[in-house]
Amino acid sequence: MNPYNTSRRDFLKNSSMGFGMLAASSLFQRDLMANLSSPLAPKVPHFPAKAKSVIFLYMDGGVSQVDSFDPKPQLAKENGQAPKFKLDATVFNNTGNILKSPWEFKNYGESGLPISDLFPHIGSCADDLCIIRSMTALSPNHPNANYALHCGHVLAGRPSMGSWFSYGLGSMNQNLPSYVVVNGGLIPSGGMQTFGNGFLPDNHQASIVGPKHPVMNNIAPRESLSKLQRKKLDYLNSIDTAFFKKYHHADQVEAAIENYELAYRMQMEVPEVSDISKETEATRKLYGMDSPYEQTRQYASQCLIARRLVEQGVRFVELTMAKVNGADRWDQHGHLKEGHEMNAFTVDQPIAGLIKDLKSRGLLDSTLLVFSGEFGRTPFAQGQNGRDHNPQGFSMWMAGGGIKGGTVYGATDEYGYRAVENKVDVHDLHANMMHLMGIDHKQLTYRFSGRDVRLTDVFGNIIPEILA
Amino acid sequence: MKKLSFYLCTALLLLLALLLGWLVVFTEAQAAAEESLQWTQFLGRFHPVILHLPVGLFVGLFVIELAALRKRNDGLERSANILVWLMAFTSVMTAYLGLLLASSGDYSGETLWLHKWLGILFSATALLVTFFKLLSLYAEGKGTVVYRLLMIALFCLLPVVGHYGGNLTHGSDYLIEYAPAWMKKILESREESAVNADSLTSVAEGNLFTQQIQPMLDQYCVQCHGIEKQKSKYRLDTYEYLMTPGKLGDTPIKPFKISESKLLEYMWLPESDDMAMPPEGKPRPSAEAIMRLTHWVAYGAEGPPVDEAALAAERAAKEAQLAKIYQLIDSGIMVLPLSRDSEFFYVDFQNAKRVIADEDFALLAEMKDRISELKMTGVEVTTPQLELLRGAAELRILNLTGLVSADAVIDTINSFAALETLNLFGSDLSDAGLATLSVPTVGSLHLGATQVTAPQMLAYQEAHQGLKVYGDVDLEAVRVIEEIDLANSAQFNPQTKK
Repeated sequence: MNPYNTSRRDFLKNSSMGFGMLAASSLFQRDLMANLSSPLAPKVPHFPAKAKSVIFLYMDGGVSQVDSFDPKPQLAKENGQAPKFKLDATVFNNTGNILKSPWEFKNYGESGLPISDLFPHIGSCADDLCIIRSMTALSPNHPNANYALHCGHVLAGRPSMGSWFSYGLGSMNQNLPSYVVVNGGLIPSGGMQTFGNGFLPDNHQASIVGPKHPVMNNIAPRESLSKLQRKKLDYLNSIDTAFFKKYHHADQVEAAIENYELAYRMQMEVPEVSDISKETEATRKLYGMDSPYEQTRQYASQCLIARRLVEQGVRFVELTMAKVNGADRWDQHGHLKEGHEMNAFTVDQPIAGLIKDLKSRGLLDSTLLVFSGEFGRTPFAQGQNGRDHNPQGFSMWMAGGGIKGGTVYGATDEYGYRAVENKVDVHDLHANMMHLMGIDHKQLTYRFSGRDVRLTDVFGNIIPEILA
Repeated sequence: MKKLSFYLCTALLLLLALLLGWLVVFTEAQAAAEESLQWTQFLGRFHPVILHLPVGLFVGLFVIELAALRKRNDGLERSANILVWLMAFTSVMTAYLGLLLASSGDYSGETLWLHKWLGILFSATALLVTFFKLLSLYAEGKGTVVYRLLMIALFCLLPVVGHYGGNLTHGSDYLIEYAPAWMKKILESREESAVNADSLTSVAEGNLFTQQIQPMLDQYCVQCHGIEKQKSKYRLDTYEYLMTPGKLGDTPIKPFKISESKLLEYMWLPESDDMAMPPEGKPRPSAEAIMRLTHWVAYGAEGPPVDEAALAAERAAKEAQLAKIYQLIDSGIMVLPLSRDSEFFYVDFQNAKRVIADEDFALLAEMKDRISELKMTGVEVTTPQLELLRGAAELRILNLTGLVSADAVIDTINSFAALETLNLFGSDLSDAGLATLSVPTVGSLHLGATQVTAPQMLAYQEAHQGLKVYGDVDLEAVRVIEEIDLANSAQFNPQTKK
């Protein structure tokens, strides 16, 4: 099941080449793994990676594209009129009239990207963003669109992209999990399966931590002596190993053994990495830790922890939204203005702070930021003042490692309803994310159910226009 | 009268013996020359036909002599006389043809050697038998005992010679191929040890190309496709040339691909075909030899053996290199190739202990020209340690976030000519240190949270236009955005809300 399984011929070929070639050969692979004896041992990328880590800023519920990154003046002109274009059925089918954006757009940065007043902080980072305005979703429903966005398939049970990255690249840090979800409180619609490892080995599932120090319960050892704990663990280990030997190969048991060991090593690292009180006052302010709004402070804390995790070599970090009534997600079927404003206020400054901080620390080049909801929202109203789900076309953006900043890719029609130019779907998104991380999405496979399964199934195109 | 004919007959036998001796020497020498190859091959093929004559004659003689043991009889005696002479003549003939066949080159190895010399022994013994028969005839019973002993010797020799000959023609497992299982088991287990010993030696020295393919090509092809002549610009005298296309653009041999290996096609064509190789009139290898060549191609056309000692030495050197990398990894210093095809490494001190041992740095220094990216954050790197990496030629990204006494290592850093990203965020770099920095000239330089003052940073940026200098984040600008944002929001502006 080694993703980089090479044949004996390759080995022989390599053995007649230089030192460097040998190092990259399977021999090195195998022995490196053996040396670390961990499924999270780093693996050699298919090609040189632009980014080493991903921070996925998941915008739960679906941000409205025409109110954020895809200005549509036509909506203001036809505001209040019945839509003149053909409509698909929406989830609630309570279709109202054209609803203009309550927010003005401004052009930001040298690139002059138009971004709405919802995101003035993110606007100040416009030159780092690549906005994809022609994103499409595979489903108009939250859970299925979520599975698609996270796992590349509308049904539950597939491995999440973070698991694929963990499986394909391992981690440079052996004392932390390679895939971490910093949970603001709101598990995405679709549940834990969105973070699941599916058929991949269990070591690649997400480790879910809280938004605030110490982020994990029971991470401090109960034993007074570390020796005592080690002895307990060794005993547990011997029982598991005996089971393992008796019943031959059992993925779950193998993963459990490894997870105990990882948790043991995490005891030291996790409290350290999550303690954002060590950050300077300036940094804390940058992220919005002094915001008057509690949710902003929490998201700032999540962003800070994400940066600290990435600094420590964690491969994939996902941030989820906070769980508070009324401002929990971008799913404004009604009261668009109030809801979107609260959500934007929550994430805008922390995200911009994250970008600026990473840039200052020289980490933006090696960190890929992805900002996306599971779909967009309709340009016409649901009821009076809401917007329904719109999978036909919406905006998302990427920034950082290997992304061409200050660019826009693709376009929707004049209402911002359907993607009409350079359509992008989740498979393309995943393919490009993997590409930037040094993985050929067509080569990273796992044999399951008689197939060599990929994150991108049989789809996914690399988009050269968005790559630096 | 009797005496005269005895001498004449003896002389004749001596002549035959001399002829046999001469043939052995002559055909040995003949094998080297090539002119009479065609006749050699033609006649040689009659060996398996002719050989049945002496065998049959000997069996007949043996039966007659057995019968004569019971009761002497003139008729039997005369028959024996005729048979013994015929046997003498035909066995020498057979030996000669056998020698011709052996020298045609289609057969080789231990079996041939055994068959050849046992065959010659048989012929020589047959001549001796004839002589003693003669003697016993003319000297009234003298030599009869020797004659009978020699007959018994021939009787024992015959199946042995025949067995090896049969092995040459039909293969060694021909006889017992369809034997009952129990018999096979007994026979094989006995034969196995012999076969194993044989195949072991042949594997140890053995290479199909050097032992069979190359000699065949040398014999039939290289005269026109070799170092002296290269007809149609094809050469077949080395393994490499076999894989090199000639005038027609065809490659003689493509490993695993019989249909694309043109040499095979030309060799399989009937001699009358214009494209047939070797051309009409030239000696051609046997179908078995071409089949062997085809088989060799089908199984990948393995080349001549490589210099095992040199390979082993190379391998050992690489193992030693790997051992050093493992030692670094054991110390928590991750060493990872940039990609599967890359010769360069990403080195990360992520999992290392806070203080790095000098010996680890010494190991790292050995591979310094292979390091493309170096991340040394969260560890205490000393000035002398970093100095060990001086001149790292391919180092492009250097992350020294949080480095203590950064000013002291600037001189070392300046020796990294290929540097594109230098990260000194959070280090104690001062204005004085920055003034001595000369790399990178392009790319990015991170000076946030250092002791470098804002005017100095600005001046440095001015002086290095190809470089992007990153300082601290402009917090004031963030504050301004925040204020406006709050002011615009009815919901999140507590002041205006109340």
